[in-house]
Amino acid sequence: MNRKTLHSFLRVFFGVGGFCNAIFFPVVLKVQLGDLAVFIRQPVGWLQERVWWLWPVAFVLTILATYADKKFCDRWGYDAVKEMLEILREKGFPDSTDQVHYHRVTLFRRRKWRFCWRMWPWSGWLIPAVRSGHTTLNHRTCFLAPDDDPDMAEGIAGRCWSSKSVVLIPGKGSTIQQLPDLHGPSPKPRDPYPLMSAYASATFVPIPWVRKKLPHSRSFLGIPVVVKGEPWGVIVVDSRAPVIQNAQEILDSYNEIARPFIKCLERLP
Amino acid sequence: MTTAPWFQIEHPLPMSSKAPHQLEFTLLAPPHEVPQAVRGEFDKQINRFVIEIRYLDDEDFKRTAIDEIVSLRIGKKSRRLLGIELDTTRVNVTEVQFEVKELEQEIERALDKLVRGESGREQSNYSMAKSAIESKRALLLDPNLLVPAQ
Repeated sequence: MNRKTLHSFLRVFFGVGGFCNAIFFPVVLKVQLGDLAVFIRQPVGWLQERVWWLWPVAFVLTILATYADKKFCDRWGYDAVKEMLEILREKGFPDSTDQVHYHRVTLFRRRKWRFCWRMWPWSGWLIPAVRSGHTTLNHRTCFLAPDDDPDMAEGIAGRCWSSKSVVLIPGKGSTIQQLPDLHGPSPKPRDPYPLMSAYASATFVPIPWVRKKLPHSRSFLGIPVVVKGEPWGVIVVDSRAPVIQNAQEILDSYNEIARPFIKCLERLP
Repeated sequence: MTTAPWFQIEHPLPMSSKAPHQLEFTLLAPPHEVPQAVRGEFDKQINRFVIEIRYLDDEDFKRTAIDEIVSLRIGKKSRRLLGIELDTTRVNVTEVQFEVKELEQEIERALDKLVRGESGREQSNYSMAKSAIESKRALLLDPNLLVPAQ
């Protein structure tokens, strides 16, 4: 369930709960069964017998729905952050006629815990919070980012987190080869393992992960995000282009929007 | 309430490149450690002249006294240099230019001490903060601003 659907569901729940607490249950308590039509006398009687526990339960659930809505679906904050990520994407790829998901900007948030079928779910993870564009929003690829063992940090996001530095791949002025294209033109090599191995090594992810995901991205820019002096997460720009030509423009643009951006992050639940 | 203007700092991000595996990648100084702007104003509440350094995010600070005149504001979590407090009431800065020079030397001594005393990331931040203050020294240490407005 995405955040928007959850928000709609919780708002409906809040509305129904509020109506029951404020109007429906007081009326049910007040009404005389003898004054009612025969066909609703039985259900109202059934409710009157149980309203002593139904009312407090509905009250508590309404409060919980309000809390959950605030906690998980603060639309204003997420929408503002998404707009700012769009600005970074536009600065990075201004004249691109490629599809939107070819060049993405994702904000990862560092969480201590992650519910997953993997060893050590409490090690610390970078979990996608907001992504630019309107597609691939449900891709939930997370990266390991342990504080105790920073060498184990995975992906550009993890490396950016552990080094607390801006990471650009391929490097500026690099004369060495680009990241291999795992979806390159046919004929594909009979043994793709060397390509995957090179890709995994350069992007700090395990080879089985590359084999499973077969990522399209060939260039990355990671920017650490700090809120109130503490590391909060990272922004990762990933592109199918062999090189991010406008990396400096993206960084300059981030510097311009960073203060309102970070103020929004402070408010995010 | 502080009303002094911020003076923007313009400096290129220091860059370093490493080749860990087969593919080079570039490491740049993190934006949150690069001073964005500085300003100076006499704070009547603490009776001191304060040079503030602005970064991308705001943070609480703890005060570290260097000597009788200079105290430094160090970020509680990040240990960045967030500002310098000067007890200008101890030096009569309005009378002669010489004493402003003395104040400049005090700041320089304090920052040098700070830079020498740290290593790695803090040192890099303190060096950047030091050059940020030095680049705007003439604007910050205006003798008319160093004492409370009458």
